[in-house]
Amino acid sequence: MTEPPCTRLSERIPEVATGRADWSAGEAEHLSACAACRAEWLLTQTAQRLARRAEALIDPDRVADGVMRRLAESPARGIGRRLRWAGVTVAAAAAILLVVRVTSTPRSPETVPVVASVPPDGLFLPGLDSLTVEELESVLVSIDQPIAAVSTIDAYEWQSLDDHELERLLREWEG
Amino acid sequence: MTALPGPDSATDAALIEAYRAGSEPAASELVSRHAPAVGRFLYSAGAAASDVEDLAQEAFFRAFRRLDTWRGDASFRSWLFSIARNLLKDEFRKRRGRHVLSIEDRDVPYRDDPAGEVEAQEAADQLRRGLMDLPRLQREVFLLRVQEGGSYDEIAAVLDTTPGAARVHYHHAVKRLKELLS
Repeated sequence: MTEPPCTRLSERIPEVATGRADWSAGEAEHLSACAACRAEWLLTQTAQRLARRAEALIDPDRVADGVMRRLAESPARGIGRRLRWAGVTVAAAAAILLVVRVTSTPRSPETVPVVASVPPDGLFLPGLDSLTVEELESVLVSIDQPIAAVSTIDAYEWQSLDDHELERLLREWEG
Repeated sequence: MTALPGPDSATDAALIEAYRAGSEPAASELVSRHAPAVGRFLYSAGAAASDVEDLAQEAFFRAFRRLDTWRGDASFRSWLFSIARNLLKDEFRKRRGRHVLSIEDRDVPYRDDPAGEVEAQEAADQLRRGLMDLPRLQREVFLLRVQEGGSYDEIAAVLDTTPGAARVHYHHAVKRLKELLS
């Protein structure tokens, strides 16, 4: 089915208005005879005028300078995110090591408790029974520490590194 | 790949790769080639004349900061338009829906036909006000079509709608704006 001339012309107007096509002879003839199509063409021309006005408001070089300056001033987002994940990974690894160490400590047969029930006044952790007072203190201190403190590198050290140093550090961690 | 008409998408991709490898001139080139289009869109869609450059800068800054999320299934320009429209949406929200339109940025009238030029400028002001009265999707489809020459497929990708819906929005917008200017 052939589209009506006005519909066809309407679809062509943006192409011609943006300079990517020209009117055919038939289209030009229709345009000169059809008030509705002329009104649409005028509307498009007015929108192009707005576009030119906007272009006068913006200096691409100045925008580029501003963007580059801001990018230079802010740490790369990718690096920040990778560092956060690296921190979480290190903390998780430290927690797993701690649990493995506590639960795999060899115990003498007489210290292995028989668990009958959980005391009503607290949690019963038989794995801790074989530890000395000093070892228990050490476990408690490490549990009470915030996760960031378990990391082998502290936040202050990260902040003092530049992007290249951070990248090198991440590469070392990631093998 | 869905791409609005503009500079070659392939060279855009090469410039992005160069920037990722550390080339600042590549980023500057990307800004220079797309800034006018972003400015056209921002201003025509309702940004105050005095804010256009700052908003464009913010759009590019966000784009470069999120470059790792750009997958290349849309052109860089289309992606920039998506960022710019979200930026403008936030800006309108901050102003609680009030649009600030000024006429201080009008072109200087041509000397050979000052009367005709003044009339054309008034029509442009009227169109800008009319655009602000349209629903957002109608306004954005209209601008991407008549100022950037985008196809319905391309526009739908930028605005996260369907080509059919984009076409309907365009014709509604044209009808209302034609009535306004006639």
